Amino acid sequence: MITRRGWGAILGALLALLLGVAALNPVVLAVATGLFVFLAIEISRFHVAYGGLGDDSIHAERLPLPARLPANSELVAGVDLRYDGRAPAWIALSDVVPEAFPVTVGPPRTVARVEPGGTLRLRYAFRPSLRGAYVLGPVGVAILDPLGLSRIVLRPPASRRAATVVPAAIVAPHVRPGLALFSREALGIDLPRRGYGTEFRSLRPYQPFDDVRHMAWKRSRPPTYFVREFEQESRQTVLAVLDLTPSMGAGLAGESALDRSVEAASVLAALVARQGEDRIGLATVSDGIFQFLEPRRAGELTLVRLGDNLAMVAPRPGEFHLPKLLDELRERLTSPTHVYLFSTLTGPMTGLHPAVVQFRRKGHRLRTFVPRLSAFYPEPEETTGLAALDWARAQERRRLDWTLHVTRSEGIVAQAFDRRGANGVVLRAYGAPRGGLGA
Amino acid sequence: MNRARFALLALLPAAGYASYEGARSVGPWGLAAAIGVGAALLPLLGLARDDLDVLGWIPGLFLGTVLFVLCGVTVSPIPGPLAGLIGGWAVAAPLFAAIAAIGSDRAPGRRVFLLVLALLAGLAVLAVASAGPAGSPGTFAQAFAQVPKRQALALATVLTGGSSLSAPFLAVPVLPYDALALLAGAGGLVGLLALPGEGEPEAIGHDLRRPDVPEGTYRSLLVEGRSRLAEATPNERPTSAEPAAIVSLFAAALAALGSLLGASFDPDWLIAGTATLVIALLAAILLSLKLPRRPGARQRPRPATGAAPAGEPL
Repeated sequence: MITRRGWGAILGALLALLLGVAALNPVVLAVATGLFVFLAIEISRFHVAYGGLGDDSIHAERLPLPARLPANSELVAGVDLRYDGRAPAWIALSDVVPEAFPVTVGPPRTVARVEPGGTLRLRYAFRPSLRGAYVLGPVGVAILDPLGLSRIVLRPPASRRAATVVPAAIVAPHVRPGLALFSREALGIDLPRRGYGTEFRSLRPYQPFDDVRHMAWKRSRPPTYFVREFEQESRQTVLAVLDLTPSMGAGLAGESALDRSVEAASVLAALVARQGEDRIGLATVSDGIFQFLEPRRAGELTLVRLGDNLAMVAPRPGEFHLPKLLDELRERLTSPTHVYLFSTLTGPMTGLHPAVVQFRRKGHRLRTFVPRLSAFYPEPEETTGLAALDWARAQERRRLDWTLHVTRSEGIVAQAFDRRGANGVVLRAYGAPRGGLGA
Repeated sequence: MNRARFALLALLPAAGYASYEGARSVGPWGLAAAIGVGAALLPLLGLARDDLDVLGWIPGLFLGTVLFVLCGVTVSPIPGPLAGLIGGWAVAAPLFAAIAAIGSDRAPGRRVFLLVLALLAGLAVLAVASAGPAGSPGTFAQAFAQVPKRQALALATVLTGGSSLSAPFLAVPVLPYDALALLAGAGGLVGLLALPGEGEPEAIGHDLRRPDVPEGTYRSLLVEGRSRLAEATPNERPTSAEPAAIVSLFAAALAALGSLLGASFDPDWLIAGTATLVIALLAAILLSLKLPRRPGARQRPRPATGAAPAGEPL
C-alpha cells in the first residue's frame, strides 16, 4: 500500500507538473517531470520488489509462554520472525500487548534490515498486573520503504496467544514466592502430618466397601452391622467462599477487597495442596451461591481449576445474606468442612443464630475474613473531597465494628484485613486446627 | 540541518538571483519596502527554531494575500506605505517560497510543489524586471500580481492554436536562471532521497503505547529471562535510501533531459508527451499495487480468545 506520505508526494508532484505545464517554461516543466518520475518509479519499484510477498514469505513464532501467568510477576515474551523473501527488506515487527500488562523492558516493536532467510527477534518483558483472561497479539509485520512512501502490511496467521492471569500462589507450586516469605518460624505456625485420626466420631451401618477391621462387633446384631467412624484430622476439607457483591469491589483495580480476598484464597489453596491429603473447594456468592466447585483432593488439576476460576472472579450485583448462605452450604457440603468466608458481611443478619447452630451441628466450622473497606478507599488527588471521605470512612468503621460484634457474638471467628491483604490472617487461621497458634 | 534541507539549499541561488534582479529594477527603496523584504525572509527563523515556525509565516502570508486580493480587484496604484510593504514582499517572493520548500522536509509532496512554485515565482519576478525599471515598489507589486493573469491568457492562446511568444514566463533572460533552476531541480531530487526524520516508520496500524514502567525501575527477571532479552535483534533505523534508488534517480534525470530535448526540438508535443508520461506512470503504480501475492500454506490456527486451555499443566 502507499502511505499517506506517498499519496501526498504523488499529489504534490502532479500539482507541480500542472504548474510546469501552465508556465509553458521547458526548464520548470523538466524539473517537475524529473521529480514526478522519481517518485512514481520509487513507489512502483517497491511494490514490484515486495508486493508479491505472501504468507509463505514470513513465519512468525511466539516464544513459549505459560498458559497461566502469575499475577504481578515479570515475564519475557517475544516473537521470532523468519523472512524468506527474495530481496533484503526493512521489516517492522510489532506485538499487541493488553493494557493490563505494563511493559517493563523494551517496547514491543522493533525495526531492522533482514536478509533473505534471516530472522528478526523481538523481545520484551511485561508484568501481568490484573487477573483475568487476555490475548497477546496479533503480531503485526510491515515491510518498510526507507523513504516512507510505501509499506506492505502482513498479518501472520496464528500469532495470537491466550493467557490467563491467575493469583501467583496458584502457579508453579515448586516456586511459590509468596509462601516462601512466610516461614514457619516467622509466623509461629506448625503444620504437622498426623496420619489417620483416632478420635471416635460415630457408628454407621456397614457398607460392602468398608474395611472389616473397623467393624463394631459388640454393637452389631445380625443382620444389622455397624462400623466405627473416626475424625480424620489430617484429611481436612476446606472451602473458600468469596462474596461477589458490589461492596467487595472497593479499592483500586488490582488492589480491591475482592482482589485481596482472591489472593488469600489462592494462598489457602496452595497451603492445602502442600498438605497433600486435604481437600479444597471454592464457592462464590452474590444473591445466592453463584459458583460451587466441590471440594476435591488438592492435586495439580484441582489447582488448575481453582486458578482458572479465581482468575475470572469479578463483582456481581446482588445482596449478601449470611444466614441464607449457611443454609445453602449445609445442604451442599457432605462432610464436615472448614469454611473460609471472605465477605464484607453487609447484608441482613436476620436468622443468623439458628443458621449457625444448624451449620455447626453438621460439623462445619466457619471463619470469616472481613475487609476494612475504609482502608480500601483511595486517597483523593485534591483536598476538596477529604471531608466527605473522612465521614464515609467513619461510617464504614462503625458498620464494621457492629458486623464483627454480631458475628463474634455468635461464636464465629471473624478477622479484619486491610488493603495489604489477608494472607497473614489466613495462614494463622489455617494453622489453628492443625495445632498451630489459635485463631 | 538534515540532509533533505541541505540538498534544497540548491534552490537558494535561483531564488536569490531572481530577487536580486527584481530589486535592481525597483526605483527608490523605502523603509516599508525593506520591511516587506524582511517579512518575506522571516520564515528563516523557523529553520532555526521549530517553535517559532508558524510565527515566521504570518506576516509574509498576510502580505501575499493582500497583494493578490488588492491587485486582483483594482489596477489603480496602491497608496501609502502598504505599496512599499507588498512591493518589498513581491521582490523577495521567490526566496519566501524557497524557504517554504526547504522547511517542508517531512512532506515530499509539499516540498516538490513548493520547489516548482519557487521557480515560478523567480520567473515571475524576472519577467517583471525584464519589462523595464519599475517606478516604485508598489508598481512592481502590481506588475507582479498581473503575471498569473497574463500567463493564463497566453496559455489560452496556446491551447487554441495561437503563438506562445507573449507568455511572461518566456520573456526572461535564459541562461543564468535556467542553469540555476536546473541546479535547484537536482537539489530537489537529492532531497527526495533523504529519509524521514524522527517519525514512526514502524507504525503499522496498531496503537503504539509507550512503556508504562520506565526501564530500570522494576527488575525481577531471573538469569534465563535476561538471556532471552539479550537475544533481541537490535532496533535500527534506515540511514540511507536503498541502493536501487539510483535507478529511479537516473530515470528521473533522463526524463528531465528528454523533456528539455523535446521542448527544443518540437515544443508542440511537449504537453502531450508529458501527459502521456504521467498517465503511463500512474498506470504503472496502480498495476504494481495489484500484484498478486504468493499463496502460502496456512499455519495451524491456535486458540485466539477466551481462557487458557483447560487441563494444561501449570
